[in-house]
Formats: sequence, structure tokens, C-alpha cells
Amino acid sequence: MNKVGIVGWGVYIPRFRISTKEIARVWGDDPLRIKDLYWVEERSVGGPDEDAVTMAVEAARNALRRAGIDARELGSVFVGTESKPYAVKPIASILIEALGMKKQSFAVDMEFACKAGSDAIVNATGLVKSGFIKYGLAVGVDHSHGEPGEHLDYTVSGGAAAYIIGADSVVAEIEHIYAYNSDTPDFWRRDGMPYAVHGESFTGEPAYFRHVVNAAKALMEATGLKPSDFDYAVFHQPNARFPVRAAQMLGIPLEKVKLGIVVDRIGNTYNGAVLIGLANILENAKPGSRILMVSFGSGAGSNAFSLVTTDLLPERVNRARTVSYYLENKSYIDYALYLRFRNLIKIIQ
Amino acid sequence: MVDQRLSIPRYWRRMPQYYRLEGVQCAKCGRIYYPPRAVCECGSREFKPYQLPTVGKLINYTILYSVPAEFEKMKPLIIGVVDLGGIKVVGQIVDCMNPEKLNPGMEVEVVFRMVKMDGTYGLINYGYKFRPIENC
Repeated sequence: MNKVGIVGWGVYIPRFRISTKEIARVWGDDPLRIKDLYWVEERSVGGPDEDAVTMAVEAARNALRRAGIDARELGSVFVGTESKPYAVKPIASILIEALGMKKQSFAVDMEFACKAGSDAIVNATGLVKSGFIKYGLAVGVDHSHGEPGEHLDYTVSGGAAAYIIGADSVVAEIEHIYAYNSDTPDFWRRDGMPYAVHGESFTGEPAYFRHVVNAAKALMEATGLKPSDFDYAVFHQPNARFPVRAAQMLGIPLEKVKLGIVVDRIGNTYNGAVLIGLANILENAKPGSRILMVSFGSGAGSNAFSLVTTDLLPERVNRARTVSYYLENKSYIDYALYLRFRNLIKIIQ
Repeated sequence: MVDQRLSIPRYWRRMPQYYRLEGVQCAKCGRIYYPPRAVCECGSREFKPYQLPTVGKLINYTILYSVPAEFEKMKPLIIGVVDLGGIKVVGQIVDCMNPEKLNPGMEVEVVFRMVKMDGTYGLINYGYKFRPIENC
């Protein structure tokens, strides 16, 4: 069988931004202290008519443009998200209609905090490798918000990334995938509740770092690859400090991680985060580059991927809007407009 | 019982037009129609689906401050006429914080957005809108 891997990719980041400084102004925090904690300057905010569905559609359309295939050639659509606008009614079926996919496609939404988007890729890869489908669409998308005034308010944002997996015209072969999952009470949102909460101090060591580092190590031990074999590394990025530290723990130098970090400019897009970081690497990497990607989802788990780019990569980059386009085309809003856009103003009727 | 005000069958029937800007092309004379028609000006009833382009030019626009009740919280609404490959389509212009920067002739792209929400229990209606490619 041919190499199985990424055939096309696309991202979507909404145009609006709110700065850490503006949020700190409203809630009486020291902006320098907050920036020092998270290394996040500003975060994206969807317009009043945007949600996880609309962002998924935009990213998927960009992925189709890059892949250069007809939507009817897709055999599956899997969507990883934790901010579905409907508790019951999938995003995946809306994508079938919005993209013009054939109705005989496998379709489901997946949930594992911020990790499910990478699980969508795992599943699409399996279906392609087994010969069930020719191409599979995997989307990681979220448009969440933290409790106003709490620390998540500074980082949680919106964005999407879509990947088309196939076995011909591959731009990045998926060499290996390894998983690491455990029942870790680091972060959750109860059913029907609007905001997620952290489990005391579980977020860092027993959750993010343990799973990210162990998944990456499992991949390297099983394959014999060393940190020096990778040209780039991209990790889930709830803030900019975590991926930098994860790289240090794995012995990967900072210059290999920088390109994959976008959280400092758009915030934590949850299921979009690591996948938008990967897109930024693909849009700048040369053929023959090996990339380590490690996702993370609270609850908790990681998927580690080893990818190698091919000669076909450069010609696909400018077929659709790039991460750079979305990072640069932005409009700042103040906190009042943010509250209105996110429907957080309580109206007494 | 939860009150539902938006017509679900009408929305469902028009999904290809609302979601993908899918028009029709006459199989006999090649005329394109959006929204689709049952009978062509040439008399033919044979059509095939036709996908409108996703980038077009703004012909003109207006800003509405007095809007229907379901759009009350979305004011102001910028409504534009956009030329999509020779087909004129009316739609909302979004993501523009400075409407004074809008100009006839500027490039806009088709985006997929929420159009209406049927309260907090009902269906969310999605559809096309336009946004300027250059930030404004």
C-alpha cells in the first residue's frame, strides 16, 4: 500500500481578537503577571454568528482546496470537539451537507476534551489503511469560553483545523501513532454546566506533562527515533509555557518548537490547538522534514504522531488561506463587545 | 411543549442553496439560476446543479439599524449585493467593524455562518454570508 498520511489541511481562525491587557483591565488583574503566567498576548473570538459548526465548515473547505479533491471522494467525517452547539445533533452530519459530501459517508462527533481532533485523524488513518475509504476528513474544532474573570477567560478561544487523510498524493506521511491515556481528574465540565473547572493543581504534572511526555517517549521507544531525528515538534498548547517545557523535558530544542506555537496570538483553541500548530509547520517546512505532534486532552490522554513531509508539500501551501493569513487579518474588540458576541450578557425578560 | 417558530421543512429543503450556494444550470441553453428555477427562460425543464464561485465582488450595500425581531441582537445588519461569477446574490456582510471602509468592487468571500436561532431550544439555521477578504 502507498504511504498513508495528510493529503490536504486547512484552518480557520475567527477575525476578532481580545487582548490580555483588555481582559485584565476589566477584571482588575495585572496584565504583565497574566502574560508572564501564560505567555498569551491575545486570543481569538468568534463573531456573534460563529460557533464550532461554522468554524469546522470553513477549515474543512480550506482542506478540500488544498487536497484538490471533490468532497464526494471523502468516505468519512469525524469531528473532535467539546463545544458542540447542540448537545444532541452532530456537527459531522452538517459538514456532509455543507461540503456536499456523499450521504454514504461514516460520520460522528468525538469527545475527549482537547484531544478528540487528533483521535479523528487516528480513526481516519485506520479506515484509509484498511481500505474502507479512499479519503477521510478529520476536524478538530472548538469555540469555548472560560468563566468571565477567571483565569481561563484569558486563554480560551475559538478556531478549527481540518485534515484530509488518504493514500495518494500525500504531503505528510503518518509514520507512527502512539497513545497514552489514564483516568486523571485534571479538568472537566459537568453536563449542562457552562464552564469547565480545574482539579486543584492536577493540570500540569500529573496531567499535561505526564501524558504528553509519555506518549512521545512511547513513540520514540517503539520506533527507535530520537529527539534529534525530528525537525519540528508541536504539542497541545493551553498556554505557551506548557509546550516549551514539554519540549525541554523531551530534550527537543526551542527552535524546533517555535513554529508550532500559535497560542500566544490566538489563545487556546482546544481541539484546534495542536492541529493549527501543525498546519503552521506544514506551511513552512521543507520536504523530508520529520514532525513530532503530541495532542493532549484532559481526563486525560495524549496521541503522539510521527509525520514525514513529502515533495508534494510546497505546491499545496498556497491553494488555500494560510495560518499566517488568519493570524494577520484581525480586528480588536473590547470586553463589552466580547460579552455581546459570546452571548454572555444576562437579559432579564 | 417547546414553541418552535422557524419552519423546519423550508430550511431543510433549501440546505443546498443556503449552505453551498448551489444553483442550477439549464442543460439546454446553459443559463444559470440562483435560486434554482423549475423552468428556464428557454422553456427547458432540464437542469443540472451549478456551484456558484466562493469569491465575488461587492456591487453595493446598505446598513440596517431597524431590523426584524429575530435579528434585534445582531444590529446593525449590513446587507450587500454580491456578484458571484455574473450571478447577483443578496446576503449579509459580516466581520466588518468599519462599514465606512466598504466599497463597491471590493472582493468578498462566501462564509458559512449562523443565520437564525429558534430560541434556546429550537433549531439553528445556518447559511451563507459574505465577508470582505481585506480586513475592514
